[in-house]
Amino acid sequence: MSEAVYYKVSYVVEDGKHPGALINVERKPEVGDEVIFDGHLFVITDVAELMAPMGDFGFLHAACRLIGQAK
Amino acid sequence: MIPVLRKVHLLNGLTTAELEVIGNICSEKVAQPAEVVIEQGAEGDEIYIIADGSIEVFVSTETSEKVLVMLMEGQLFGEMALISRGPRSASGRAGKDGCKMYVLSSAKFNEVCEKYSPIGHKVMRNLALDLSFKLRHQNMAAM
Repeated sequence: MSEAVYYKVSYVVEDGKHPGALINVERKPEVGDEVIFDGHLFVITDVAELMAPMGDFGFLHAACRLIGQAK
Repeated sequence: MIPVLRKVHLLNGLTTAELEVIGNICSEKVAQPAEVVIEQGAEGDEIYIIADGSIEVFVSTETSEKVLVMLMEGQLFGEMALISRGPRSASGRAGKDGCKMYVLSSAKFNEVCEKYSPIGHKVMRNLALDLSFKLRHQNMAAM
């Protein structure tokens, strides 16, 4: 199967400090990556496949930890 | 519009010609920061595709409010209008930078899906996947 072109990512924030986000990205997120949404900076702590890929899309879950406000 | 629609999972698998059919029934809407786009309990027929910015999805009672998730580019909301005509199950308001959206009337969308059955088949399959993905996200967030 070919690689996904887009990844639909479910970002879930540790300790419920933020409700999380659903974002489509073109690069597969990895542990240690930093991501910004809703004006906050997060670091990814875990990535897992949430559903099997279909068509151009992969479906991922990424746990992340709030670092602080985005600059 | 087509490059944005190509990144929308609901429309995954559609050919360029099929995306153009969808693009022709889309209108554009811009919401200012914190502007409520859909309101919980209200009747609504539109489906919204986020082209830029974000939408904060929340549920509220008379005394409290809970934000469920932030949706960003390529995500859709209001899509339950494609399945049922009940009241909106949650509210959606634009995030801090506002939100640019493409709006689809579910009636027009259903008309297209019925007229062009390959579009209808792909969209309904993708819609089921999208709802499954959102449910799985909520399950993970609740852990």
